[in-house]
Amino acid sequence: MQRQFWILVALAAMVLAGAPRAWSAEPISVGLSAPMTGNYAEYGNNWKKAMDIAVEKINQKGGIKGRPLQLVVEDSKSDPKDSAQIAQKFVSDPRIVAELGDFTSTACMAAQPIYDRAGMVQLSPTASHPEFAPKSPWSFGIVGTQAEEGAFMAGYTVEKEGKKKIAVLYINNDWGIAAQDQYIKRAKELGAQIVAVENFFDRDKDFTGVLTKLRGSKPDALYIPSMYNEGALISKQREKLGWNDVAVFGPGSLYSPKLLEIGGSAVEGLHTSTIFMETDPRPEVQEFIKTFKARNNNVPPNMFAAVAYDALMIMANAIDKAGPDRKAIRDELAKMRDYVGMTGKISFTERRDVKRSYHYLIVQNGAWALLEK
Amino acid sequence: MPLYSFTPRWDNKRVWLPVLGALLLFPLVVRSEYLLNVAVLAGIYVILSSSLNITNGYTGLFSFGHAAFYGIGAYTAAILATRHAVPFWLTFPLAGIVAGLSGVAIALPTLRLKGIFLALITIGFQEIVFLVTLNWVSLTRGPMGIPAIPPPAIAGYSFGGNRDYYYLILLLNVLVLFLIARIMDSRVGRAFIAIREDEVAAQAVGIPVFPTKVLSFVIATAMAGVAGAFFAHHARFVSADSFRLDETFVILTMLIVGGMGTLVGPVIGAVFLVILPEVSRFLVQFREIVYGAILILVILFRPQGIAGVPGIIHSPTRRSKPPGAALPEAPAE
Amino acid sequence: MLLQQVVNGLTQGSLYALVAIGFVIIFGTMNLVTFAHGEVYMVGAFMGYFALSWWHLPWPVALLLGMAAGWILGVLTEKVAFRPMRTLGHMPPLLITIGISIVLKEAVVILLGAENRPVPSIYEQTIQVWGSQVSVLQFVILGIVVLLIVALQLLIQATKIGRAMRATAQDHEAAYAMGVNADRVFNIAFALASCLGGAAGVLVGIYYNAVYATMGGMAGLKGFAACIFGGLTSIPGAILGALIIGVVENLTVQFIASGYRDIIAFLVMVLVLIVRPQGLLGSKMRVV
Repeated sequence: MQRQFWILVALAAMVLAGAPRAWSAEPISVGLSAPMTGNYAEYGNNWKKAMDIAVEKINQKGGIKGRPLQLVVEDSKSDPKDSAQIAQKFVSDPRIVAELGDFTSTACMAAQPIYDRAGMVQLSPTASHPEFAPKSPWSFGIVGTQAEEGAFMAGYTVEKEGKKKIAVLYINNDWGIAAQDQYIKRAKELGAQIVAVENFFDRDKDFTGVLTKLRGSKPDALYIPSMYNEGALISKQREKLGWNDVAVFGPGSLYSPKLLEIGGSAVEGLHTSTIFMETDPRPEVQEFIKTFKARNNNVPPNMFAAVAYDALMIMANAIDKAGPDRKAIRDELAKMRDYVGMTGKISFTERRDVKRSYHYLIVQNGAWALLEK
Repeated sequence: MPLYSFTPRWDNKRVWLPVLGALLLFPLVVRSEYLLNVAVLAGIYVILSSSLNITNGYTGLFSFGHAAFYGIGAYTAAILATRHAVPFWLTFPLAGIVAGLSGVAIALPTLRLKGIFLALITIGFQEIVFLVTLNWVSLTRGPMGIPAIPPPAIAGYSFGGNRDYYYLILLLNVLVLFLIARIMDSRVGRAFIAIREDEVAAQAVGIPVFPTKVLSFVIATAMAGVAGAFFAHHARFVSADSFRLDETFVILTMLIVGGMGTLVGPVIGAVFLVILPEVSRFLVQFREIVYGAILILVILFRPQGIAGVPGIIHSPTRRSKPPGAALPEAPAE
Repeated sequence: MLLQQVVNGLTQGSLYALVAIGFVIIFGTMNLVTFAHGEVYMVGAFMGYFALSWWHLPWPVALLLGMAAGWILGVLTEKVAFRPMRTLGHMPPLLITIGISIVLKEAVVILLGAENRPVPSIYEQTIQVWGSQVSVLQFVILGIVVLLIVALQLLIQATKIGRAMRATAQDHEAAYAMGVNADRVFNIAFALASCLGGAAGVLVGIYYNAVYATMGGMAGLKGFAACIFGGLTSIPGAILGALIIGVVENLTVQFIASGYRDIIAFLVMVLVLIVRPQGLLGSKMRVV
């Protein structure tokens, strides 16, 4: 009799000791709408890796108010149809208190009315369309908008690099249109001449025709607001056409090791911007980079991974302060000032986006290099 | 085997009344938003495949452009609802009318062609409609699609969960199927079938072949347009991508698997193919492959589908030579 | 710039031509249409991608591998889809090929993902021609396509099997009476067409430095448009149609807007079918 009792105690002790934190409470669920498959799959998977690191860090410290944080991941392929459907799904799930995502501004804006109507926070790590966050009190963006980035890149092109005649080739979606708009506005203010503007659809792979056309207007700079996949293809086809006497610029969407991998020699000298730097000396940044590299074939995190990490951390921060209530989380986020993340200082303006300061980045000898301001 | 077979069974109240009853009670029993969504989707595809059945099944016109009209209806409803605050009970019929008129516009130059050439030209028009939609940014917002389409609202009550949509689509289904049954039971319907079976003979007995073909086409496209309007108010977002050739293939697969030329064939096909992938989480990811594989198997082993009239896809056009190797054996019929 | 656009157009057109010729061969001998041709092209492209990016083989080997993949797929498709259904009209084989195209495309998406796969570059230099810079790669591609077409013509005109194909295309009953094995002819015709499609896929992957699972759709449709333009049964017609489509597409980009580029092929297809369904050089066929 006594032996059985002690055996039970021993078993119980083993279970309690060996089991990972026995959560007596239900997890707090945050929805993630991101491209896990499809043309933007690498961005989504990158996000997930970074966010997983963040989630683990939070849960190791005891979760949020004693409850573990859980990501509910849905694959949107960054397709606006899917992101809208996923939004419906998330808002009708009572366990989900907020949403992270989506990747492209177009996908975010398609889902926006649904989150707005139902009253759920939509925090996008990468949406940079200037009209996205202001349109709904529930929408937040942390990567900065094209209003700032476009102006920065225009300054880079005209003032720093001294280019006078610019051709623009942009991706024909909400984001691309806003990006080229802002860039052109500032470039003109700085006295440059916009000699040609063309666009392409995101399914296009053939740029030889449009590049030939742009070449005809003899620009000395080419600005390409697009993702790194197309950016690399455009560069390669430009090189194949022998058009080498033009300087190429693009927004931070181009900043990725994949651009170098796919673009090869064609992207040498490409100019872009970044808000995240691998060389940031802060210990928490280096620790993040180290952890990320260990899970990612030794490839360091790019800006997308860094903002994803920051987005999750901010969200967790807000939930911690406000509790798992959809409206309270929104109010808490809107109040957030001076949160210091991997990507620097984050304060939401009244438009619920963030004003960023950028750094000059260039491809030199097959690697990304920072330039002095 | 009769050329069409629906009158005996469906006139029988003892058959459709309990079915209707079960369908009405369904959302009261099943509460899962997810399952109701599947049911709504099935409802949309029933209308799409039934309307395609009018041209492809009853009239023997192999149109491959159906998704374009679905899309035209969806965009019409989306534009009217978001830009002009038109309420849903007007956007639906207007979408149907616009889709029907587009049907006329496309029917006139194309319906002179037969068989494979009709199929090809409808594919051409399908893609042209898609590309125009994508490029006509001032009207359709191009690749950005039209978001924020309001849900249907009746007397101040806005549709909320899928249950509301379910009843609406059920109502539309009943209307559409009733309409098709009535049409096929009339002279017009018999004319459709006559044209399918033997166009020359149909002409000889005085059927105005070309106008009848156009009529068949218009009815089908108008119905597809109404389905599009419903889709717009349900998904609350439309983009040109949803209405391409791939979508036509999906509808066509449902029609063929369910069976062409009968009232119940397309219904079975649509319900079956919408529900099948949902049966297992595993299958959902492989939905497209499942559709493709089922299409192949059906054509190889049971071309009339589950409940269709045999021989519709087999009828060689009257005047072309039997293709392939119709050698010492007599030409197939 | 005009010359450059024309060269761009001719290069693309030559790639469409390879696809279009495939359709002509199949329709000419068998009087049937396949919707899976675009996916054969896509499989060939992926084979080229593996050869170049994964196994680092020289590009002619990649090309041959792509062609072989096409050939095998062609043989299989004919046996599975066409042989049992041949006697039953246009529709059943067409519908089966729709199923096959869906299965192939989705299988690639599931196994390899839907994203672009980058293909390494070859021949990145350019040369000066009449004041414009033209890429060496474009000439290489044009050269290869010409070579393939010449080889095809030799095959059709000068070999026994080629004669059998021509005879079957003209009058399959008479050919059968003369001892031609129709089954074998159809199988080879289909395989040949698919082989060319595979070659086109490999070349396209090299030209654009990218292959992806959904690349077959548009390519197949455009090849089809070219085939219709030429008259469905004429190889020179299909080539001409393809080149015209390629050039007009690029001129549209130059003078109108790049978004309308893809419409050209379909406008051509639709207009030809409305105005002159037998195409430019085809025999007067009964299509209405």
